[in-house]
Amino acid sequence: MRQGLVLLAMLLVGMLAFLALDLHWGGLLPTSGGWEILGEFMSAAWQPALDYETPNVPRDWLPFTDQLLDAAWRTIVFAAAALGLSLLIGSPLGLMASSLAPTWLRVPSRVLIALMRSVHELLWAVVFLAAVGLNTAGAVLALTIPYAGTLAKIFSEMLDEAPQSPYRALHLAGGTRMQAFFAGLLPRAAPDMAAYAFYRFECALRSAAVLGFFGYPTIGYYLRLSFENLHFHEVWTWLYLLVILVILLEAWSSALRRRFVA
Amino acid sequence: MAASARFEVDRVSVALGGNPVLHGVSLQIEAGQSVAFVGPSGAGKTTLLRLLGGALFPDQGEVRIDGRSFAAAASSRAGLRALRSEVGFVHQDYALVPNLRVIQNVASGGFARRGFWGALRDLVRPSTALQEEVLTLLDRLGMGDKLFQRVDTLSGGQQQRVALARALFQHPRVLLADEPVSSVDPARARALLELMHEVAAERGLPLVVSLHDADLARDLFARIVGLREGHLVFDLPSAELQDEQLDALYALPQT
Repeated sequence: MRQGLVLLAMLLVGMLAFLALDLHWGGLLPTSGGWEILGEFMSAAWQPALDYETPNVPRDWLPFTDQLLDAAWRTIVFAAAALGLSLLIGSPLGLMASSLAPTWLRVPSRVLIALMRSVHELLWAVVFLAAVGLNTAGAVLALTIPYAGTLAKIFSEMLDEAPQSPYRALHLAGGTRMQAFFAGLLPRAAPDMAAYAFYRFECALRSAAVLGFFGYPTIGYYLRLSFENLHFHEVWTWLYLLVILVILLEAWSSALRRRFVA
Repeated sequence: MAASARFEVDRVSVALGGNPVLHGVSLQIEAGQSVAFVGPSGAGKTTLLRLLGGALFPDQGEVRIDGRSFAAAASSRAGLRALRSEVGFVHQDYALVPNLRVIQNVASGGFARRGFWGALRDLVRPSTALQEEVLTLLDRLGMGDKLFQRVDTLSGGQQQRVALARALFQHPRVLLADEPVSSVDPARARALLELMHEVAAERGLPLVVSLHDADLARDLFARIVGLREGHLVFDLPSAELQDEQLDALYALPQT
């Protein structure tokens, strides 16, 4: 009965939201010229570019395939730097926000995490761009702030959900809280935490690619240029490159999982 | 300090979440004695064991090991840890870390003797001396070939012996076990309790166990303490315990 009412209320709120947005579904249908571009774009999917679509590229640009590898490498390094820093900050913050921490530490930690997470990395990127210009450290920080917050939140939940009995038993056997944490609780939560960190690395790869739209030399930078020049074959090459990176990462993480968890 | 400890439970009352669990229970456990707490569910057996292990402090009365009370030791964290480390406790759910190896679980019983970094080293890269010490202990429990096995690959009975090994690796002065045989079949239950008796006797430790199965308790333990609804009903040598007393202990409440 109560669930039914809640469901009804949610449906009602959803319908009100649609009315408030004043949607024009007709606008989703492209114009005749739009159809043409869409067809061109989709058909280019079968023929990704293996070279620049125009010879007029800036003199200092690398050959196309080298440019691909260079951008892929920069995207990976970007994501790895941001995620490494996020783990460094997020792991202790997650412990500080878990129910193992005393209230005076836990509450401010949770507030800090909420603040870090409430602003999206692209907004942080805009802020840093305005503050320090096109600076790699600024972009890494822009990714790190929300990522560290999210890692801390999820890690603290994983620590709270892991069975507490070994932790309590080791503390009762005369171990310190820290000893009991590292031997009794962390090993139990660690596989889940590692799997989640890998997933966030995947997210960081995509975010790092998108940060290229702001001018950082990751995949998104070239993706945007190709798009603006209507070089759809190049666009697909860049998209496929991003897909390949994510698939490779997934293969690597599942290989690690097989080795350490199973 | 003698290897074995003497317990005094002095007119102890405990309430948990507002519900009284133990009412003015007193008993002494001498060095080297083996005692079983029996009684129906909810009698307070586990609570009494937790008091003896220093996991819980009484609302009234005192629990002392060789004259030192847990409540007094709790004035300093190190003091409480030192006193708690003298009590080896085998938990009902074993409280092991299933995705760690046997050696890591057993070695963590010795953390009270180790600093923070020493404990980490024991976990990550155990020294040869530590490996040998744990192996000797496991050999005694018939588990020598399982040193590097992950705990979640072991059977329930084997996990229980790992939990026993961890408690013994603590170098305790008394061994407590909460319903140690609640999840194994009768033959294995008897074998495990006999093993606990043997290792406790070898080390001169008092063995204090809570058991549902009063007949098993009477067979294997020299002294039986009967609890019902938080009261100590009898405290007798098992030879003097009458069937009628056990029947009364477990009788369903009159309605």
